[in-house]
Amino acid sequence: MRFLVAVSSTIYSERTLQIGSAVANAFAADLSVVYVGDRPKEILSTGVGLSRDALVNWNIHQPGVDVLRWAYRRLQEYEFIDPSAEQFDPANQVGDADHIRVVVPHVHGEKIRLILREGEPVDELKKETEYRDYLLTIVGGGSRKRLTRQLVQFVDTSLLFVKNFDPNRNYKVLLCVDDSRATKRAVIFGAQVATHFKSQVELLTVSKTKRFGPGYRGAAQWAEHYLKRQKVPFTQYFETGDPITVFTRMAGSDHIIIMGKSKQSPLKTFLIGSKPGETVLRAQGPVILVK
Amino acid sequence: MLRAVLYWVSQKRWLLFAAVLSFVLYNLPYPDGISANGYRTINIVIIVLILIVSEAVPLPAIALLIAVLQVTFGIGDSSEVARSFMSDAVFFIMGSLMLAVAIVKQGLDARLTLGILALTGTKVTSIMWGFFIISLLLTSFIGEHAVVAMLLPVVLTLVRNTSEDKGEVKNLTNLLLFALIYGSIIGSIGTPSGGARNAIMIGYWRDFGLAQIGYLKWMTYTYPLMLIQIPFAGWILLRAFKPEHQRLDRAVRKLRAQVGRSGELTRQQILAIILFVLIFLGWIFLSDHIGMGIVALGGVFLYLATGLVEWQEINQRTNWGVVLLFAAVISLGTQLSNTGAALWLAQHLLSLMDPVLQQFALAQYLLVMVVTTVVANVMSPSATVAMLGPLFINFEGNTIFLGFTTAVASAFGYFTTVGSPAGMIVAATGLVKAKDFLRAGWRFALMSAFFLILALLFYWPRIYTDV
Repeated sequence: MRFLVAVSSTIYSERTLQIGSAVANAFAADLSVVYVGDRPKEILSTGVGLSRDALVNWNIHQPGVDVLRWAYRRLQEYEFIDPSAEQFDPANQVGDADHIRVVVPHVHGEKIRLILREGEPVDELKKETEYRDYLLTIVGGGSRKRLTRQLVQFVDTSLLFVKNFDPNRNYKVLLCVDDSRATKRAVIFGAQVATHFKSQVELLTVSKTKRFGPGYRGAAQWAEHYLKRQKVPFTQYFETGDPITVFTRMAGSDHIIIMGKSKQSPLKTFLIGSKPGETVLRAQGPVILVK
Repeated sequence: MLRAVLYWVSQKRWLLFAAVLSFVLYNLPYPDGISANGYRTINIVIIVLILIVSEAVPLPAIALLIAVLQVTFGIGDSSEVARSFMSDAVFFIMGSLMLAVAIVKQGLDARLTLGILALTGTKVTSIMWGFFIISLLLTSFIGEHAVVAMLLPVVLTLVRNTSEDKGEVKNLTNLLLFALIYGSIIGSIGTPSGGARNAIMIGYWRDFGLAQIGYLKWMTYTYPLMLIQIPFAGWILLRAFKPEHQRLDRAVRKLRAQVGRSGELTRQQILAIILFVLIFLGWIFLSDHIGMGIVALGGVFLYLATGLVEWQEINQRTNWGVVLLFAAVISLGTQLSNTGAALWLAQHLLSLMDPVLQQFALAQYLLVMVVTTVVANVMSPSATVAMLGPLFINFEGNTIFLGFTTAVASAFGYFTTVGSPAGMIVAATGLVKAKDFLRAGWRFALMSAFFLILALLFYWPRIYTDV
């Protein structure tokens, strides 16, 4: 099992990395850290290539390498990797297809990978998740409409949006259940998260009308049975109203919302967005969308 | 499958937009006074502008599209289009990119550093002046790529030696980096070899039978304009970025110790310098007869023949796609002129401005300046001259002045990272942001525009001779 954490800078990605390493620990997953930097305009790229070569001779590396070094040290502090493991050396760069990987000697196996990419963020994350098989992609933000919608629709893994994450807060899990295909996987994922972090679980089913259709009732029943079987304590709610409004209202800022990815047609999602995408945009706290 | 298609659509929306727009334009009736080929050439120019700015497809793909459309739109047959892809300006672009690789490879950055520091001492203002003037003078002959690639590590090492905390030396970093960027930008107007755009303009003048401008002639027009900006530019830089430190004693000492280890000039480095001096002399004395591009290619041959650089290094570091793109864009520019589209566009633009022009003869030069500056800041300076040059030199004013105005204004890339190779190279370090360019850029643009207007009004008319 392998998770991917996207970091953008040492200032804004601290929380993303922190929650990323905690979740990877919970699932005993390997972790890849990717930095996606701006790609220089191709028309002026000759000079950029030349200057990068010259800079390396002066032991100055491109911006993302510093961020990866910072991420590596943080992961040592969080004890995700052995704090005594050999220090990060920016010179140990290996070109892999369309990206660069910084190799850390004596950190064995796949436990941690440090990856440097350049280009448009969604495109590069999509390429990275296609290049290696990731179960979960962890990203910060979730406030920029176009970027969030594209990530939700086109990055083909489960997604964790680390939005307003406070490491000192004891988050509850809000499991949003509906008749989508991914609901069962969301419940299984949510149960694992709740068990590891000893979080309270709230199971929520929302219908637009007062009548709950058989799909919704069936999904809620299945979730109820599953959580009981896994001995995860939970409270169940059935609410009526606009699902996104109810999800975000009930979640407030002290819940992690966990829900399945959208079941609606890709064209509709492309044109008007999707329930999970809009939930991420309006949520006050972290959201996990399970594929 | 549908998701993949939608993803492609989201990524290639500008390509689709350009395709639809082109289809619509192609099927619209032609305006009066323009030939079918001229109208179709303008159609291609619009598509190419959209694709270059949006980078919806790789640059070499745009170059291939230009060739394909010229033939399929019936503007020229395939042999004619193929011929128009190669010119002395394209040789020059190819040669200068390869020369930049050869020069940077020689490790002359340590020598330059010691030279600059010997002149400047440890005062921040002196160091700023040192980097600004050296980058300006060197760029005027070598071009921006090589100069910035050599000086950038020095500046960054100096800043790093001052403080590891970037926040503590933000203004100092900006001051020195922008001295490098703006020094290179201003320097690039000085000689034809300062930037590909200059060679492109010389090529258009010659190919369209308008004028023969040699290396020294170019310098008489632009070198004074470059030099006069030095004191004002330094003053603006110091106003825009007030450094946190006044002296850099410790940082300079460390830097001197670091570069001092590189020892005396090696025989290879001396040979590299001699070869560059020969190339420079070739540009001055031979380019009128054999062309600047041939001199540049001859220089690359000498670097390769003497073993100063390996072909693999040149091959790996030169972006051949950029060469191909410029070949295609220059070919398109030539078609703009040959089909009469440039003249038609020029006449229409001027007729729109007629009331202003009757009162104010300088208006068309100002229009050239503003449009060139805007386009250069979104598309890159050389591509701007390649696309707009044929249009502007067809305006009603003096074709030499119009050409120089276009070439010089294309170097007003003070506002964005895309506006100049130097800006792009430095921005790729992540240390300067877009807003930093705006902070000082508008002052530089006003200053350069002011001196360009003075040159147009008082200097160029004095030195003008029919060429």
